[in-house]
Amino acid sequence: MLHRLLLIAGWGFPLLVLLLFVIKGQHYDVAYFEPPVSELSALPIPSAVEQWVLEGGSALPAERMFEKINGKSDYYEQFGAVELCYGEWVANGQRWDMYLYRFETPQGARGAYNGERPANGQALDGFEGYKVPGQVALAAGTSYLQLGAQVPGADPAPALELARALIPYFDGAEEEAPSEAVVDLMALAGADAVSDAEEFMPESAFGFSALHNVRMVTVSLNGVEAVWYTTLGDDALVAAFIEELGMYGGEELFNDAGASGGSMFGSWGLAGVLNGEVWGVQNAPSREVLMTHWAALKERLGANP
Amino acid sequence: MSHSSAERRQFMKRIGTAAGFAAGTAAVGTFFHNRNLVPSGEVAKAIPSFAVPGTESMMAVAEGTDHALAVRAALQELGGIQKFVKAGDRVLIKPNCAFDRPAHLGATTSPAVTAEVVRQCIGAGAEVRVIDNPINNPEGCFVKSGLMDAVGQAGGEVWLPSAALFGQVKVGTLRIPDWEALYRPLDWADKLIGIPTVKTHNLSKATMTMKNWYGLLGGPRNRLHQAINEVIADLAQFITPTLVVLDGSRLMVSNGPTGGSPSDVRPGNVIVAGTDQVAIDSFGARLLGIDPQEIAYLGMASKLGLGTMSEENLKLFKKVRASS
Repeated sequence: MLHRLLLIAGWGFPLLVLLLFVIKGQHYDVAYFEPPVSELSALPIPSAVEQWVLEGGSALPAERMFEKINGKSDYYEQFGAVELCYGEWVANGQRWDMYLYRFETPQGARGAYNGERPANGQALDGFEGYKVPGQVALAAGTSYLQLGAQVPGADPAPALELARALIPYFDGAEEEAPSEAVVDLMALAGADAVSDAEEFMPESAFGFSALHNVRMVTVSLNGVEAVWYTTLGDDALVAAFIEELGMYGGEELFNDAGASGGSMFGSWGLAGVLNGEVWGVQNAPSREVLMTHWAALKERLGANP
Repeated sequence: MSHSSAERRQFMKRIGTAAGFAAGTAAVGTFFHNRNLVPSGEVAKAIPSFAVPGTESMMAVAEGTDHALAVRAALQELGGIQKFVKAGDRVLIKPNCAFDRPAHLGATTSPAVTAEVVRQCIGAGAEVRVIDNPINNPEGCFVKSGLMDAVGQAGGEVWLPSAALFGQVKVGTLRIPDWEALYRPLDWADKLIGIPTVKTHNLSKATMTMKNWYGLLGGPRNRLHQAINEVIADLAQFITPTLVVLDGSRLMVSNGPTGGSPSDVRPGNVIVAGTDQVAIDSFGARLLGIDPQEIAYLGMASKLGLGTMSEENLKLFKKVRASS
């Protein structure tokens, strides 16, 4: 018996090595060999809500999103996308294309949403989203939903109702009370905004490893630009930021007006806790400009540090 | 025979068997190791130039809200379609039909522009087929983009890609020396016309003429995005078209290449016809508000001698207002 086992092992091991050598040496591409994922049961949403029916509902994991959106998949992956669900919602002769991106974190969903939000999007009541003729988009929980009409200029009202019906199925959406609606950075910056849209850095924002999932907007006050930013966090995060600033050669560190900051290579930055979240200003050319931006940010936020 | 001699012989026999097996393993492994699993087995074939001698370095821009008229006006400035397409020619047209998006979202070539090019070629006495290897389901893309109906109504035929149409071809010198592509349609054609869209692209900044040839490739194309600029410059070496008709009727100015929102699209009302891919794409980049110098693949293609980024260097450059 033992002899037979040894014989099998003796032949099996080289065969295993051979197999590994061959397979690992291939330009192996799972997507090329696997059939497309197309299982309604695998979708995180129902195949029918109210009068709407989902046709051709399919899902692709992040590493296969390129099969649907090609090179654009890199954009969503940088925000931590884990899955793309797509299909066509049909009701009363209307057809709306759905692209539902699911992310690891709500910040990722919001970052991808903010990066694509058009300037003319009309904000939705009660949640982070916008509508334009022919399109509705929103970020809720870890999901970013796009609904697009198949005819130009379609009234977005039906799609808005569909979106509202889908939100309860999005992970984490139920945890977001309307009162905790995310501050719209573009609205906060108003006419002083230099950026066309909010930007998002999932990690190491401004080179600080402590700063993750940062939303930001570039603002110009009196002709001088600085970046306003925010992320989820508390005093501990501000302390980590200032420690990192000091560790990597930050100079003239200070605590002032509810914030901690300093300069590095001639660029000034600070962070503080406002209304329960970390807010800050970066890339200011002087301490004076930094504090001017910080004062304006606090005033517009109606903040109580 | 002594006991130890028998053991030695047995030992040598086993060593020999093991060594033979190891050598066999190495030989088989070496044979298969690092081979591309995309089946080809073919020798890569070169795709000949589709250019008509004497038509090099030409570009004409026509502006107007009637996009079919603008196509005709731009072609007229180049000397008419007859300069490029003769009676009896088999013309392959490559629009951008990459995504299953409706036409108004600008992710795909305008049906009206494509139809007009088809009509022009048929009017010149050619047989016309329209092809693309989209990212999504080919038939779905052609139907939803409106290209299926538009091409059919103009008298052309949509040639949906299938495995039998692909073959290994030579591509470029920078990144992909050879790749699987729609060889049989290219082999069928006497003339090749590209009708790209004008879109931003999250990896290459913009996608227009050269990037449009990506839709002639097969295989695991997602790998190509890792060196997208070199690959696009390779594509410009791969294809020397008879003619390019850049569809600037609408411009995807943000969130390209997929878009998805009508807000991503602006009216362009510009049609650019010509033969210099670099010049045409440089012009298209300016339509998007992008300095062509910022687009890496344009610099690469220019250095490879595939065209010029400056309109002043063209042998023929015309601008016209298309109005009835």
